[in-house]
Amino acid sequence: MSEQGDALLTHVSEQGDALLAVDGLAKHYGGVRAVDGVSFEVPRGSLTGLIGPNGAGKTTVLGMVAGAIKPDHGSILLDGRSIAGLPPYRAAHRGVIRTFQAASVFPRLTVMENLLLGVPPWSGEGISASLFLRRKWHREERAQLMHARELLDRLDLTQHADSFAGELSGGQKRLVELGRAMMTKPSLLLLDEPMAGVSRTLVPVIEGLIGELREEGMTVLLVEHELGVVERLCSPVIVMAQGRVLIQGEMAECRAHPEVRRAYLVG
Amino acid sequence: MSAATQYYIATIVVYICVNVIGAWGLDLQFGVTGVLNFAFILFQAAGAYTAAMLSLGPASASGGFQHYLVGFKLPFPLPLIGAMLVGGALSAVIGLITLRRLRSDYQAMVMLVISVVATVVAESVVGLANGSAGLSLIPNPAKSLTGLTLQTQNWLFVGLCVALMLIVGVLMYGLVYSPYGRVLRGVRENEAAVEAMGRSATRARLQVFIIGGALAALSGALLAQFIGAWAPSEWLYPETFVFFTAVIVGGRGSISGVAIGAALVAVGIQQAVQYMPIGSDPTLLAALEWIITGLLTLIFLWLRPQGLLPERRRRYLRRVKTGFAATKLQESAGT
Amino acid sequence: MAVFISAVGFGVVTAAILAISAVGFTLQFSVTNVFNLAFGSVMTLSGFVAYWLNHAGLNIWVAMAAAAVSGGLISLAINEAIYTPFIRHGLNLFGMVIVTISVAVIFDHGLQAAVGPTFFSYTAPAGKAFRFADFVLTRQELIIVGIAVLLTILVQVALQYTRVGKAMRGLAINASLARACGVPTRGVIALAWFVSGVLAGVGGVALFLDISTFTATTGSEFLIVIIAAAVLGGIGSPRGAVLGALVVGIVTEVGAAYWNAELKDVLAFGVLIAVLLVRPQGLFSRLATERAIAR
Repeated sequence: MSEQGDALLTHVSEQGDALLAVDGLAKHYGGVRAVDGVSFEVPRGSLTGLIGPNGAGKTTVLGMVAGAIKPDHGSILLDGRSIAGLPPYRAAHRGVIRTFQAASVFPRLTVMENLLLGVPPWSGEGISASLFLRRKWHREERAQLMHARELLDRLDLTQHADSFAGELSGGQKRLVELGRAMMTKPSLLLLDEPMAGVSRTLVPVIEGLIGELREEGMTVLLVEHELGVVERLCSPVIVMAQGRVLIQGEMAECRAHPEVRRAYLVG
Repeated sequence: MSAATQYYIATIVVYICVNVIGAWGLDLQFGVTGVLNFAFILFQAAGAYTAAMLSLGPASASGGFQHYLVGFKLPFPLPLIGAMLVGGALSAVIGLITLRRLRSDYQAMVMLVISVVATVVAESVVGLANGSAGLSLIPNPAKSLTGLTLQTQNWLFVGLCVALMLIVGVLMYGLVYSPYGRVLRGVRENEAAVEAMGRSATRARLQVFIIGGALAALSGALLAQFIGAWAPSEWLYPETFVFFTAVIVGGRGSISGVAIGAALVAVGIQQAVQYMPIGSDPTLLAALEWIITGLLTLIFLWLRPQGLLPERRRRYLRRVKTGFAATKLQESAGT
Repeated sequence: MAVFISAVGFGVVTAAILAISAVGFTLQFSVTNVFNLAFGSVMTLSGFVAYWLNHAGLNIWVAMAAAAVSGGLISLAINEAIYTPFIRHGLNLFGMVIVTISVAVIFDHGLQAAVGPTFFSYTAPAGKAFRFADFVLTRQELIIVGIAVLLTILVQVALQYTRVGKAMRGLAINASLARACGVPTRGVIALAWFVSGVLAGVGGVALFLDISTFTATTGSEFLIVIIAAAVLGGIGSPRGAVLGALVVGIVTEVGAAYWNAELKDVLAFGVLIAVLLVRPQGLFSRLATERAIAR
């Protein structure tokens, strides 16, 4: 393994075992090396931040972990098992749930239906169930509705339960998307710039929500531009620039690192 | 009521039923799941040809005046079932080929080409289904019931069509208003998100492609048995567009809406045109039907894309409120 | 061997006619991102403009030029009056395909209602016959091939070397980037529609000349073959469209000569489907990959 990898391993073993281990990950688009040999680990139960200037390759890394993008090289291990190259719906089966840069809701489904689609695929969803086992799935769906209702209350979106998700504000859509991700009870939650397009009033709400998730023991990898949020929430923090990892450590360490400052100034 | 009037009404009812069944098939694919099936008419044709060949005797028996592949002279309801199976199987094959990671309009283009290819093959390879002339003397299952008057037989067939339409309606309702339907609509609304939630969009699309194809085939089978004839001119590629108009005008994703759309577009326009004071030149009437269909599509896409009866919003808040409130009451009472 | 050469010869003529329209179709698609199924209708309408002028006494080639201009104008008008408003209205890609089909249906059948279902022909003498090794081409066919070659070269040169051409290519690759770089997108797009309409006009008249008789729906009937040529070569690539047209033209004629004249279109479509299965972006495309066809 690389020198960088060794350094990371020692760091991680101080914190606890790694839920996600990425090694030598790379993705080239024609001549452009979007991700050029990236290695890092996300400790179990941590809220790890992934930051860097525009074009650093953060979203591409997230895409590869979630299965939306096929890596050209490298390994991705979730709990020791490889998930590299799995299509998105299979990665989701393993517990990797992601959100998208533009809040990715189902516009002409109601908020409640958006949340209901967050329930992991279940038996009542099949064709035969919909035709012949109505009573069975009615009961199951009721339990899901209760769960979704609790979430809605927590997100303060109850009054919008029957509104079309497409009619909500950007921040509200983000809340719906997060709520849906929470319904899935993910092993690893990948958040891609959750604060993007969110009004100032809702930023602390979402920040609080993410913090609560960490308290509840969920492992989160957070890509974010708002460094204040990252500082308050994340430990550790990974800094990327131009497709490579510069450093992984606490936010204060990263801030002080000369290469990081140069990357942000230049990038 | 005179025999002619009875026959007229029967024809209208049969055409409505047949087109509603077909439109529901396309609605499941396009309205609910967002699959642009531009080869739709091909599946109706497959059903028609299959039902015809399953109910006709072997080609040689009829003195060889029409040439077709096979003839099994099967009794009701086997031709209809066979037609649906063939429609579903053909959909599976074409779906596996085309429902890949192609963008939607390109995919539609490929399906359109397939539809045209099929027409050309059917017209040129005479041994398949009698080429451009098509098949005729297709038996009507009601006619095999001896001892009944022609009119009673006709009405029996009408009854069959209505019954089948109602059954398909119940089927549609079950599929669409259910967790499965929710997944389908999710695929329509945001494919990436639905995949991120662990569902395979491709598999869902393939499933509705097959079910919709079977429904299209059933519609074709009934039509062929009613008319007694079926030729390539019945299923040129623009006919798919008529079904799309029916779905768009009626209300995509809405079962009752699409039914109304089918009745209006597939049957209503044709009837309305006949009563217009523009003479009776059949080409002119046919051209006018097409023009009205095209205009309707544009008007609705512009003014009311959700259709006459929009897709119903599913409301859950009321349902959960009572349950949740009840639990809360119990909790507070227990404290 | 003689049969083969003669078939190839006819194939080249067919290809030339196809190429004009295929280049028009694919150019318009690459710049505007709209799968325009009304292209065939524009061909037909222009063909009829040429017909009326021709029967009013004009020489067919002059009529063709007039048809070209009218085709450009009709195409431009459809875009400005119908397509652009719908795009602004928020319709997405597949909605637009349905819009273009609606326009095609309305125009085709409107024309049919006006002129009737009969067959029409130009008054255009085939001209002197020229002998080429084992096959014969008439003066008319030669001129058509010449026009096709000229036009396709012109388009290629314009795309490669003129400012407008480069702007079109830029728009084809990345519309928002082009806009950000100051390309006057509205003007360039309008020009793309006009040019593709001109090509539709010339292609329509050339087609009608080649098949001798035509009706109000002929253009749309041939549209599928044109699309097949364009898609085969790589949708969005004018060079590909020419190559696709050559493949389609030669395959159909050779197939007709050796196998079954009835099935010659099937052969071309069979090739198309085989190619699409293996390489959906077409045979010769560099441009027409992810952007053009992927989700």
